[in-house]
Amino acid sequence: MATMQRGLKTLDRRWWLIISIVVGLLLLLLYINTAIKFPVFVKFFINGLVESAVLFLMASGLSLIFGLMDVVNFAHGAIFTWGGFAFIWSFNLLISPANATQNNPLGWLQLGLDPLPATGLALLIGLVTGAILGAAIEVLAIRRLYGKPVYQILLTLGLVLVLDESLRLVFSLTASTYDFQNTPWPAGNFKPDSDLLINWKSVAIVVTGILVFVSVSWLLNRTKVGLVIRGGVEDSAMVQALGYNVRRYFFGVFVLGSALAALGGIAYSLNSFGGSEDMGQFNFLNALVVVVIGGLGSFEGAAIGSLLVGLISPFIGYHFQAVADSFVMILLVLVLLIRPQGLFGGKQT
Amino acid sequence: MKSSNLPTSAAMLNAPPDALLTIDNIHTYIGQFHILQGVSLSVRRSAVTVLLGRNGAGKTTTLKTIMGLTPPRSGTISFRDELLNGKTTFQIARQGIGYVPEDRGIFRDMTVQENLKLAARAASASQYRQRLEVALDLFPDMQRFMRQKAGTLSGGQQQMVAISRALMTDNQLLLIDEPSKGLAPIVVKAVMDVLARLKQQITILLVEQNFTMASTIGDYFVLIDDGHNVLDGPMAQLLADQEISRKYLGVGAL
Repeated sequence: MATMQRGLKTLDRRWWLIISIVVGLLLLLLYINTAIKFPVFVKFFINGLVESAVLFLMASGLSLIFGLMDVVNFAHGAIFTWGGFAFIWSFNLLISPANATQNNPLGWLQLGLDPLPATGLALLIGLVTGAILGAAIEVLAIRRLYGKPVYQILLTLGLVLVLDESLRLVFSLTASTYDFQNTPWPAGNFKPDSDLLINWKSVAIVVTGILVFVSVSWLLNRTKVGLVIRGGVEDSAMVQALGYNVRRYFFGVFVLGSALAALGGIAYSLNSFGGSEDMGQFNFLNALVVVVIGGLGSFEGAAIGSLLVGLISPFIGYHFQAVADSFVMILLVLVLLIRPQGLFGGKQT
Repeated sequence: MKSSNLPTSAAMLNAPPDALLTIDNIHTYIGQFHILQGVSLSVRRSAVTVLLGRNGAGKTTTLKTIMGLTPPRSGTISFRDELLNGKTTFQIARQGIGYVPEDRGIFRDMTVQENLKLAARAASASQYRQRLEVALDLFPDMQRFMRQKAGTLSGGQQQMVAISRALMTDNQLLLIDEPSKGLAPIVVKAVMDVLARLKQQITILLVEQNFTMASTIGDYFVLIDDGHNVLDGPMAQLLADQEISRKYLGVGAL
């Protein structure tokens, strides 16, 4: 028993070595092959990091919710969209007309904030929107359906339709008219090299991703709450038998995960100068793949999976246009064939 | 679950005055299967009560029912003269019942230390240290692998952690499900020695298939067959009556 376990551990490490070598070689190959200049490579790399961060924000919550509660929340993508739109909408509302472009339909409100405080406040509103949506979904719906996976799938899929359609109602005014291209921040940029232009928003998104990773890792690994959550991912009945009200932790993780999804939506719409109604859907699909690749219920797995998918996809998009869309699925199939439990193990169910 | 009136049945009234836990006529279903069909028993303070019976007789389900993991559909469970019916698992655990499940329920991805810290709940640092000392006194070996991932431990080591975990809060009753399962005979002996030491401070309800061990350590026995309890009494009585052991346990001469 003991040796078998140790065997698995070393296998894990060996796997990691192989994977990182393969990824490294692939990146190197792509770089040599590109005949593109180094600054372009850096640009790709940064775009990859931004995509990773967005994916990670969505996937980490999805993974934790699945790991702890055995719930695949299909409405996670809708929360992502809602977070993004709440952010755009409140930014437009708050920004001073001097900084807004002409077609800002809410510019007449003249709340007149500078771009930086407007962004901060809008960020907060987006996060709160995600958290409230998550709390409402958990209390009104998910809570009543624990242990009934089919009902959960039907219900959360139904919620996707409800949330996506009501999005059009609530944010109809500004559906995708999000314009802060004239603002010095977050649309500004800097030039570390004459051939290289880096947007501040890219830096902000990547830093946010790293901050979230570090703080959630701290929560999971260094606090009592984290112990309960990790225990719940492994065996929630046993955590209850130790005297913890696991349902309360379920709720907390669901709300936190939803807020992170909203943050992902904010980052995404910030990066692409506005939201689209379907942004939650295709990002959700990628996040789901990331979660499966990383290992269901594993937070670190979600981070590594996001990096893998996020970093490779800009290169694939550049070199192999034909498979750009299907590449994520190809990666999924490969991982499932070689290591069905995902890179980081996760649940054995 | 439906019954919340005070225990009044004959079995309750006949419960020994030193009973810590009394179960009266519980019926438990798992899905559509009627697993427990009227189990009544009482667990006396500061003694080891062994739950005996064939595979599938309902021993594990009895423990799970006490913990609220498979709540009873009818019947009452009272602990320290308080009804546990309708309480959820975590509330039952907080009443002072520690559970060591059949598969040990170790958190494999956590270190041993983290397993114990989680089990200590809101204990203060000094309380935690004190209880850890008690556990380390019982299992000095545990010191060696405190920082190791629990999933990498041997079965015997995991059993040590599982029992220690139940000692990290001031539990008055331990429910221990087949601690000998899958362990080498010498390790079984060590675990049983610890349980024998423990029973001076804490009450134990033990499920054990290893009859030799069960009869050495147990003070009382409850025999379950097909979801009913057939017989109970002091262990000596069971040892004296070989007919019963043959009939219900398939154990020959002892």
